[in-house]
Amino acid sequence: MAAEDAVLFQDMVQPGATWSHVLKRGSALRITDMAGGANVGAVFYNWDNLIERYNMPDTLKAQHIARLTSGCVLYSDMGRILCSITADTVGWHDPLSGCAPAALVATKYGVARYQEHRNDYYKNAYDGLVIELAKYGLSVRDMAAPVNFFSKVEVDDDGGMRFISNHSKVDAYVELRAEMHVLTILNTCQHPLDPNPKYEPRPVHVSIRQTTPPGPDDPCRLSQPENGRGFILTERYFL
Amino acid sequence: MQGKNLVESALDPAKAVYDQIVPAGEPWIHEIRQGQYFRIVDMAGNQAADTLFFNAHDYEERYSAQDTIRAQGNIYLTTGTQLISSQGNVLLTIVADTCGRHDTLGGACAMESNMVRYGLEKRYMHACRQSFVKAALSWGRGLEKRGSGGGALRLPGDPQEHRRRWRHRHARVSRSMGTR
Repeated sequence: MAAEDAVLFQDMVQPGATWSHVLKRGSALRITDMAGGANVGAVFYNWDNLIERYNMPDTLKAQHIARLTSGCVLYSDMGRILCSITADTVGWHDPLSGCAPAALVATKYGVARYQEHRNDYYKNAYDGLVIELAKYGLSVRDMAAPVNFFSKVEVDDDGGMRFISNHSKVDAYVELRAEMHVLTILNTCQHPLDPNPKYEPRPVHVSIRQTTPPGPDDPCRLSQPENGRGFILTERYFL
Repeated sequence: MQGKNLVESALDPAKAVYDQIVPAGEPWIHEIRQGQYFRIVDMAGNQAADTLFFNAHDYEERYSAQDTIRAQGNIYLTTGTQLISSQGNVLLTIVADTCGRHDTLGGACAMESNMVRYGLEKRYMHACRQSFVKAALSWGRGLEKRGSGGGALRLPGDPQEHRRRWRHRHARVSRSMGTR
């Protein structure tokens, strides 16, 4: 965990909003659930080569996991680590479920347009993420399979998926250490499997801190042999 | 909940309009027209057929593993599964399945991820993502790695890929005219 006194930047991401930043190698992004029950859809790209991006299958199979927590890393399609999860007070973040497009949001919550509702109009995560992608020259084809931070979806023996309500509590946080320069795009719309019938996205707080590079005893590096090799490949990239 | 849904097809492969054997480790790319049926047969057992689908009229729209499993509330694919695109449309529907369970979370192996998973010296081992890129390059028409979404559909689905990684075998693909 990065030191409290090293905060370089902090901000609130409003409910249903999209936020992006090129997180620099050696800094850490902390995302904090301000109200409880937050969901943060997130995609990650190598800023130096945007066709290298977060890869959900490679992340899961390299670490033999179907959920993300501290000690896990986020792999790109090139065998390198974009971010490491260095701290987590939630315990389970969902990598499986994707994000809700406009049609799903309209089906679940109805339609609320800017015309009638001004800035309280209903947003959806898919549009939020692809609009932000476009600002960096990327298109819908570049949309990666997003992580849903703060949300938990269990899978039973027959493959059935179940969303766990009230999973994240007030002030819960997750911290990501950037292992390369990472275009990070976050969206605070509700999880697509959230059974809450009301449109009630929650805000999160983001803060960026300087952090120390992962040493030989780094918990993410040592969590399993695969991650040790992932760090080697990432460090080679900067030679 | 979704168990294995074993359903045999009534279509006669002898009447297929197209029939081809795909050798182990080779890419195969083809356009399937609306209304046609597409069958993949495991010829020797324990085969995986990593598969990607794109809207033939707009390659920006492609198969989405996340949207597919979320739409049916189940991570396994079997008869009845609708393969959902990145734009929320149904690309294909599985109408017959004699395997019963297919994986869509494992993606495809790559030289780079094999280095992470098995050892840095495994870089030169054959990998399916090489085949995908080769197929996309041969197809041209704007298909490229960045549009794949990183996902792949794997038929059939054994999540323990490492057990069979040296056992690439061949599969047969056929395409039949629909009756719709």
